[in-house]
Amino acid sequence: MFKRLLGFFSHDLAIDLGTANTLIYVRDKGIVLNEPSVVAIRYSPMGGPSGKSVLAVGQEAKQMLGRTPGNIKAIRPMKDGVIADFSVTEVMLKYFIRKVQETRFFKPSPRIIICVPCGSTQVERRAIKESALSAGAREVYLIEEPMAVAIGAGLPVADPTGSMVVDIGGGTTEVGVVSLGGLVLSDSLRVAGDKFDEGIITYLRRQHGVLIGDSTAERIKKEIGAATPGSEILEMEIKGRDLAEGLSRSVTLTSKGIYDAISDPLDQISQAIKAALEKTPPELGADIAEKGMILAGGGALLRDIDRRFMEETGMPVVIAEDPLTCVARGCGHALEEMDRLGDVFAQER
Amino acid sequence: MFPNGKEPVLGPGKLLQTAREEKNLRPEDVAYEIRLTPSQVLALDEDDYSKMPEETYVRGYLRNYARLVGVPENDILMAFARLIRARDPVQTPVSTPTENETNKNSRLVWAVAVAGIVTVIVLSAVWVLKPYDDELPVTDIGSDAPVGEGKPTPEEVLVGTSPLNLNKSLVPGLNVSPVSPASEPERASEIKTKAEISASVKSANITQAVGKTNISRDQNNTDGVLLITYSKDSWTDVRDAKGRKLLYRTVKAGEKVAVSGELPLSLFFGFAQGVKVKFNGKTINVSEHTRGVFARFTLGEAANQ
Repeated sequence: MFKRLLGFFSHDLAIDLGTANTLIYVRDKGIVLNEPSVVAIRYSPMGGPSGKSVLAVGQEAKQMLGRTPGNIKAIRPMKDGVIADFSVTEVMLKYFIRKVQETRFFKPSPRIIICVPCGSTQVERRAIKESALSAGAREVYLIEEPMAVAIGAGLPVADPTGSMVVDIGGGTTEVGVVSLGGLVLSDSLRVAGDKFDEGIITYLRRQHGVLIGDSTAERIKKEIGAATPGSEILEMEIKGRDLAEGLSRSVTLTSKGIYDAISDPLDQISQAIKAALEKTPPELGADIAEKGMILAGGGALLRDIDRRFMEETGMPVVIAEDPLTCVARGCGHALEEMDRLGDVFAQER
Repeated sequence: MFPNGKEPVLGPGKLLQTAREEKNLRPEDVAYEIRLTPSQVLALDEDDYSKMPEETYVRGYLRNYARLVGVPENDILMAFARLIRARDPVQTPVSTPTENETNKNSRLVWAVAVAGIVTVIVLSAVWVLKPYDDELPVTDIGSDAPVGEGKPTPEEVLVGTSPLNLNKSLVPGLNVSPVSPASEPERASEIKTKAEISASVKSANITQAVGKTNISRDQNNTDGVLLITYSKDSWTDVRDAKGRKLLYRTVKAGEKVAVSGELPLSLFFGFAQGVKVKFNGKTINVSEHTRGVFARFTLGEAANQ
């Protein structure tokens, strides 16, 4: 009852709790927060009962990744689209919710929609739900990511027509076929942006004998990463630690090399898409073959990734507008139309 | 010039077709590259979207096409938006509230209702929890001028536990005569303010500020009234029959203090030479009781002089 009362002073929220970034959509306002899902924890005897205290959250914490002294750890509490560290996720959610709520006098108690990977287990979904409830939510609804993408991209989810969406996020790649307000089939692959970064780190270590961090790998991927061998060749100079000498060394990379580095995870995503197409009922398959598929998520920004999937599937591939915020927009739209789109939410079995 | 009198809006098709022809690409080439059918490419060239899927897809096809033929995607999307607007002009908003507006109104009503309930609860709590206020409200009734004219006399302070029994001879500054409401009805209203105050006094040590005149009374006919005039600063201790402190402080020179209390009253003055005392209108010779600089004596009943 008290939470309901506080709810009048809170705005309902839609949260894309991603492995790499957390986006928050506020009802009637739009996306108001887009910050990395990173929390910096300081370990010290004075840091409370557990000896830990939160030093920074979001963008500020991300800048600390790989640059922290011994007593500080920058943690990404989400891994592969699900919660890896429950308490830190709760702290992060609480911080973000507090940040987007205007009312400072009352403790926010909003209704929240959170997207979850379609391949997440009931335990993982329950963990996300509990985390949001602990962070102050009065009601929590879960929505599967492919459905959120479809809504966010403006697809006719309620119509009797098949639409295929592929969301390449930080931790997971979600493939789903949507029709009549539900997911006809879906698949979740724990291969996505993070695996591209790992591939680039491994490539540099093996091919150039240079060690780089996650942030540098991500920067390389964004600047010269390409999904096809025929993409325009770009070059980039980076600095890393020479494994043999232990000193800093510059290396000039080409997009061709980076393509080689990330081709394995790209192949796995292509295989997942093909497998989903094979499993799609023929009528819906025909719809999809005619219209094509929608790509969203940060992975959709990889250069020529649509071309690669077009070549591999023979279907039109359309990158959603503003693919990074597509899931959050979809969640937000579901929030606005909550009463009308009641069926789109994931049920706990 | 134009059939409907308006210049036709240039859609993205013309831009794309021109760019395609400049690159010597056939519709089949474009169709192969972006995995559409040649007829779909031609439809895009002609801005014919009747056989195309939903707008999301069309915008995606146009972007793919634009990227292939080297036209800025934004230009194409803007042209597409213009064309769509021209073909399906925005309808005037309907006056019926949308679902969002209804929700907002509903939230507003709830917020107002909750605010009202909270206000009522808070006011009730204040009313219930308010301590019993046995102190007199501050009432400026004046003392230097006749009561009712409201001119305060800073020098005069009336302290005591007995009902106000002032008359002109006791407190020259206060033009208050012994009141007989039945015989002098015209005076009744003049005295009314003080009478009301008297009725509300409960405690023995209640002080009422009258300008700078503090009046405090109780219902006892055996009381006496002191009027003390100070020409010098003097520590003063006046206690009634029950030992209650009626005046217990250093009084500054120039002040006049009226004290009433249950008899007998015991008095102590730290600097007796600076004090003149009148008891029930009668001047008391303080020097008779002076020992050194101070004086200690009792007034009323046994010591009523």
